[in-house]
Amino acid sequence: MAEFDIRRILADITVVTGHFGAGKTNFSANLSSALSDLSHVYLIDYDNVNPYFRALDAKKALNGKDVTVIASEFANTNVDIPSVPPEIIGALNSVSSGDRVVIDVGGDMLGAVSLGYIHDKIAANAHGTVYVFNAYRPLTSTPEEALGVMREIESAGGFKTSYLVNNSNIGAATEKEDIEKTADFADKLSALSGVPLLCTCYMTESAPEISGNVLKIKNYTKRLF
Amino acid sequence: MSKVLIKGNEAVAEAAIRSGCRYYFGYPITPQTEIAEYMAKTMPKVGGLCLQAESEVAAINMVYGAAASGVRVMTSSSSPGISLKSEGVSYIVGCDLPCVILNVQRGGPGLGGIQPSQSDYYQATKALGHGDMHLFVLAPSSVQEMASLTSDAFTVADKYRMPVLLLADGALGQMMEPVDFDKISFSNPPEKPWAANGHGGARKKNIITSLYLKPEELEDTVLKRAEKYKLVEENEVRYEEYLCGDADIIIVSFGITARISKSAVNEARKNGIKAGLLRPITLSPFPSKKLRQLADTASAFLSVELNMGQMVNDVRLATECKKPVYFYGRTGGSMPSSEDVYEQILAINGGMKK
Repeated sequence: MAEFDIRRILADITVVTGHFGAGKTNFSANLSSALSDLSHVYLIDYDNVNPYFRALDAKKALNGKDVTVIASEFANTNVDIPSVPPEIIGALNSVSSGDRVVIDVGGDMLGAVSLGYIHDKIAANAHGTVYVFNAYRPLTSTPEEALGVMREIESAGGFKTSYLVNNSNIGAATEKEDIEKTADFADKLSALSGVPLLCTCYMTESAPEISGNVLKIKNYTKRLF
Repeated sequence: MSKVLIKGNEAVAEAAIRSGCRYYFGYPITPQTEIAEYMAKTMPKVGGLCLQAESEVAAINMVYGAAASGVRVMTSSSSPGISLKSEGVSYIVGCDLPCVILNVQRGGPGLGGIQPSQSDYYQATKALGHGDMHLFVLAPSSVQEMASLTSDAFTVADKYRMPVLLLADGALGQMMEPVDFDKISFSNPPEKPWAANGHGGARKKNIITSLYLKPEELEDTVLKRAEKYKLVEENEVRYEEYLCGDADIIIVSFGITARISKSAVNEARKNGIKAGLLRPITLSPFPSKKLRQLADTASAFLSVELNMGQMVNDVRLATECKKPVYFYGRTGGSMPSSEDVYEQILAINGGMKK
């Protein structure tokens, strides 16, 4: 077990994918916050699937950090139409001047389809794709199911996965042991996919005792009550 | 899989499958589309059928047919889509068929919006269809309850041969919470000797219809159904009572706003105000008897809803105007904070002291 410095993600552009509810948005907000120590970061809310809980919600919590959140002007409104914010092109172009970009993609292959629109811009730069998974989500509750979703996302989005991130949790009820129990799941998914496990996230007070890297993350998601 | 992290919509779908529901008919609409997605992925694995119909009207009539054959069946939609289903719902009631219908409410009227709302309370409890009819209406207020009340919905539907409506909202549908499925008991579908499922000449044929040619016959079925509603009211009323015993001010709130209100009640108690919460779990039948009792001990009621004031009138009827009944609500997809609700408690408390 070693505490992971997430800033070691070297790519200029990080694409964050996963099953919906895996924790992509929260991981993206944490990654953006950490990377902002190194350069200006654009966090792109590229979720065309989820109507309520999205990266835009983290905007306030990221105040004071060198992070610009870009979201569709229709995000969190009543406009129920998938749309892409035009500012993302400018953000992707700014990579050449030293900025970093984190793209929070919508869930599953349906969310990943919209990556096609910016595929070439991403591919032209140093980029990496992170697949976030949560073993406590019912439709990715086996390594095989999680691999299936990953392959669907890869084929819809046009990018191979560079790293796995284990974000297994059961919300506020998560105990350290709950995370530790998913270590075998993560190893099996890594073996099945041939993709290395970057780190295991935790919000519990103390770190899960597992081999490999662990990453303490903050909760940036919207609270209703 | 016992404890999982799950969206409210997914919790309903998973619980339905565990309840033995093998037929789902629906039509996509935000914010409940995850149910159809979950059903589409899962039903084939358990030998069931998930079918995207050509419209909400078609979907509810497929439910009508499947229910008549005796299987456990459900549909789901959000506010505008539920309106479309109302004709089919009335026919299902007229035939005394069991089924489960979920409304993940969004803002209205009309196309309205996609953010959460409780503005279909009147529709759910008074008139989701024409005729002398009621539905059994359950209002979950957590993702765990989205699952457990789905199980109860199938049980009650079969027990009384009536449609059960789960009245949720977009927030409950979209938010994620841990759910322990091991804590939920699931009933097996009972024998249904009345079902029209083929008899091979071995029994008398079962006729399922809502059309009666003689007025006396129709009157007879409506009277029998009214008896059934009375039985349901005697046996199935459910509510959660929180700190009501010594409370001066009792908030009445269901679903997601009950969660917000509970925080406000706790804040009030911390500051020396005797507040409590009565959360109706069944909206129809309404926990009127309980409220009538509370009207003897409490000084005021406050109904908190995501609409312009609908359940508040049921609270007034139930408490027989013995005590003032106030209302606080947001609508159009906006949500109150617990601080907003607490301020209402403060205002009522201040008024009482004057």
